[in-house]
Amino acid sequence: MNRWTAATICLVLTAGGAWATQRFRPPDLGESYAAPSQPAPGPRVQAMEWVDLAVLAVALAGSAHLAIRTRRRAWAFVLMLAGLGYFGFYRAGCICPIGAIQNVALALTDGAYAVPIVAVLFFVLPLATALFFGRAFCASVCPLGAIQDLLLLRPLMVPTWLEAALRLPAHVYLALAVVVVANGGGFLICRYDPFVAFFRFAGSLPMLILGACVLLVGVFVGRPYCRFFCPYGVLLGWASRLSRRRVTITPDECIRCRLCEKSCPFGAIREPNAEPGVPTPRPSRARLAGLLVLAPLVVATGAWGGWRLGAELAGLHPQVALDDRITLEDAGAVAGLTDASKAFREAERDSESLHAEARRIVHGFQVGSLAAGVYVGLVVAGGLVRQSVSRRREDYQADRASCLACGRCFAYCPREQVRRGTVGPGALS
Amino acid sequence: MTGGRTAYRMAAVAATAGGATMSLVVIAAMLQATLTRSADQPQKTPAAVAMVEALRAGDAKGAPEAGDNGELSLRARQLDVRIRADYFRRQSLLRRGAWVLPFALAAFALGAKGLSALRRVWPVPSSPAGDRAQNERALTARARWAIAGMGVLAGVGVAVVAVLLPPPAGPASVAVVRGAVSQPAPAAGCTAWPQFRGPGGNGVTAATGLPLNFDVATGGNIRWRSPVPLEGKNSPIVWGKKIFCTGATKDKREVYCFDADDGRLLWRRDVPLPPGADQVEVFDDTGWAPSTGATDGQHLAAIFPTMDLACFDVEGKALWSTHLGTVANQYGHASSLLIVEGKVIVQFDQREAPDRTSRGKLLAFDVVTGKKAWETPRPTEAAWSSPILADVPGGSQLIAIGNPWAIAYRPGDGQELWRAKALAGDGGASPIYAGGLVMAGNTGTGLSGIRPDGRGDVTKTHLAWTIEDALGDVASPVFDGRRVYMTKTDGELDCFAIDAGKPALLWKQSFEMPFSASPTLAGRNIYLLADKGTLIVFQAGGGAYKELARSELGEDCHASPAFVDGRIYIRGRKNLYCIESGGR
Repeated sequence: MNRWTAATICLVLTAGGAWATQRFRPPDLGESYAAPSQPAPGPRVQAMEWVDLAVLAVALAGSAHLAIRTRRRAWAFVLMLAGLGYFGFYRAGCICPIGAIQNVALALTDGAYAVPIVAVLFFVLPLATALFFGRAFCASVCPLGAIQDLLLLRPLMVPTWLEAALRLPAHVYLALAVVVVANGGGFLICRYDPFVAFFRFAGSLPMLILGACVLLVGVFVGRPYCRFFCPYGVLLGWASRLSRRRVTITPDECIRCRLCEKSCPFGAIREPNAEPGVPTPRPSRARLAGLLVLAPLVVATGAWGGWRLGAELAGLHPQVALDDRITLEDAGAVAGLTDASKAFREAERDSESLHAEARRIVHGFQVGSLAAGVYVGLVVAGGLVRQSVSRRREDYQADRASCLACGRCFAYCPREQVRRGTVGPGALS
Repeated sequence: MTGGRTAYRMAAVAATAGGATMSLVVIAAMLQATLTRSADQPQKTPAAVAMVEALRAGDAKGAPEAGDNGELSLRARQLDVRIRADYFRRQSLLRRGAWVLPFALAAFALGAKGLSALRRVWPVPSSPAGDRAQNERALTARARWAIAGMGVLAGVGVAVVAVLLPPPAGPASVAVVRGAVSQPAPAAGCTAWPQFRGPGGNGVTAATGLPLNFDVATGGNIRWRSPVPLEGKNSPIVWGKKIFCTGATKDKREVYCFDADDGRLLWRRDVPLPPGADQVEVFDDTGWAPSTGATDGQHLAAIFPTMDLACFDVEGKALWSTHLGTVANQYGHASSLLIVEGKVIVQFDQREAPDRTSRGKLLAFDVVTGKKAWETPRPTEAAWSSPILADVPGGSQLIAIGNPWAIAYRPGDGQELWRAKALAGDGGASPIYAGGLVMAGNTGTGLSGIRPDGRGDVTKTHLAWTIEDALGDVASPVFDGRRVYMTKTDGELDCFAIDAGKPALLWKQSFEMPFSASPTLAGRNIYLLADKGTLIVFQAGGGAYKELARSELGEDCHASPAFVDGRIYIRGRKNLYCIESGGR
């Protein structure tokens, strides 16, 4: 036995000891008392967080490999089921990169928050993968995407023009979530995760109904949460735009056969907008100039709206909610006490200092909401401009930002069938 | 159709049908178990209600225990068993359903997906693609309108809400009310003593109707007395109808919760010893449970000299615990805890090692998760005083003192605000914030008044006054608005007037007994508890010491009492007492 083997055995034994640790010993109630089995889950050793991270890394690598190298939808589907099982049902939807947005945002805005390194890596890894290989995380790793994909039975095509507009809520959601968490209002994305109740076999009735509604819509509309609401999808879309390699419909060249036209249930296939050899008509310069002039107005409107909504948003913060409640109670505008106001009064805290603290928090929300409004304004203005300066496409292409790398389109491409050997090259002629 | 394809289709149909049927059956069963739970309540039938009323009437008349009440009692028990069995049957069904349902749904989904794949029709584009450039123009035009429409929709939504919002901020009703309220209403009674020396940590109570004396022999003014399983010098803390304290020996550590009305021990929880706990040594006068816990009404935090911090909910459920490492403290860690803004504050003062491997620090842990929120190093020696939260104009400050500094921190992130060199040598007295000054010190320097509006080192600029040779080494001071009162371990009580900003000795009173517990101001009276268990009440104010009452507990006391809602909770060496006018 060499020393490396011995060291490995020691490490494993040490880890076993850690698993067996119970921080609170059961009370001694005498020999006649039969203690029931532990109702709560035992402490999760920190090492398991790194196991989660390793699983994420392996799954991302596998997903990228299946989408870009082997181009096998069936294996990508199997990996997706495995991702759903591990990150969804085994890890109960937490930790996930979507929620990790909030950990990172909080760490950037609150110096006192010690962000777990695993949360940061969960946030960064899928983005880094997208930067090189496209949205491999969405394809086969994300449990939220997987549960919707599994129930996509009768896909209906959302018109491309409508899809461009329906992506706006995801940007708004991202901005709101960052503002709320940066001001101490809590983790909005986790609170309103529509599927976590299914993963945990437990949840409030409204959240169960919300999740069921999203899944019901998802039977007909491919991954509605991912495409129209997922805040992390916005970031992945940005990274994917810059990706070095990404999913392509055809393994080599597009023969413009149109067979893949309707193959993507997520509306990520872009048709050619120009014939080879035919020059592209110039977009209207007047319209573009008009939109560029309009852009500052749109951004300013967003900023104003954000500022005005900031105070309302601040109501999500427990201190502000308590201050509002105390004010109403003191004025006799409401009857009775809430748990929070009762605790506040029993602790004999000073309502003036609470009010001062609440005002500070509200101001923080207003400033953050103003920035969020600017961002949403930029998204709207940018969307309008982008629809006025389209790039030339002579082939059918997977959209860089919205392609989820699921690989459904592969089988529709005759060149892919030739690559796989299911048809001979002569069949294409 | 090939044989393999037929088999695949049959399997998919079977999975779909089986999964769907099973899902429907399970959902129906779970719905039935949930919906009929509220409808089927045997305890609310007229017969059951009448039975309960009859049992209560029997109790009210002083009848024998319900258990001896023959047939009625038996029927009540049978009903109780039936209700419980029904509840657990439903719970069991829901639990099993929650496990079966995902598998049934997964079978349905996979089968349906398989069928869907079998039905897939490969596209055969027939119509020509048309003018691609024109198609693109039409598409982008529609997309622009759609994006603009969505933007307008969002803008209109914001405008509608913004018009409804009155400036400045907050929900309409709150903003209107806020404008109308000039003075906040007084707090609704004093029913909490959430930390060492009560709310604010100043040793001042708003409780009224407190008794001046008691008599253990006759039970006069003693509502109840309950034995505390293990000894400890920490003080009781109170929230509502629950009293919390801790007890420990070298080999065992426990947290207790007593009923405030009758003194029943509601629960006791063991806090396991960490590895290496047998290496920890404490001073006899400090003991194994000197630190008072803290509660916010939902959580209870406790700490022991082995530096294990444990948190429970108020029903006794263990939430989390963490070991903070060994502490270089010659008498053993004795600082009490504080819960501020959802964080448990730990003053971890210790001797600084030459290589800085050990040094003092102030720690904050999330009370819900136990995660460390922040940690701030402290340039202090070992200390035994406890931190307080001072509601200073301009924002709350955490005050923590240790040789040689009194230091204020921002509660949110632990950032140091100011520090003043106001201590020398060992000290256990905690600071107070009163009359616009932080009053802090120890036996080496006496007591100093520090203005809390400075930043950085304020030693030369913000020390308003210093009373030398006045503060004891254990008990903390109390301030009545004009005078500060301090007891010493040798039994001396000093009263200094702070009227003109400069302190002046008003009077001294000597007792033939040492004091460890800190004095408490209740209205115009100050309560002193001597180590041998003598409770002395004297009148605050006036030019001379005026004793009002003196009572003997009959056992040693080192913990500061809690004063809540007309009652005084005193922890003796063996027992916990509830003192209340009229007693039981």
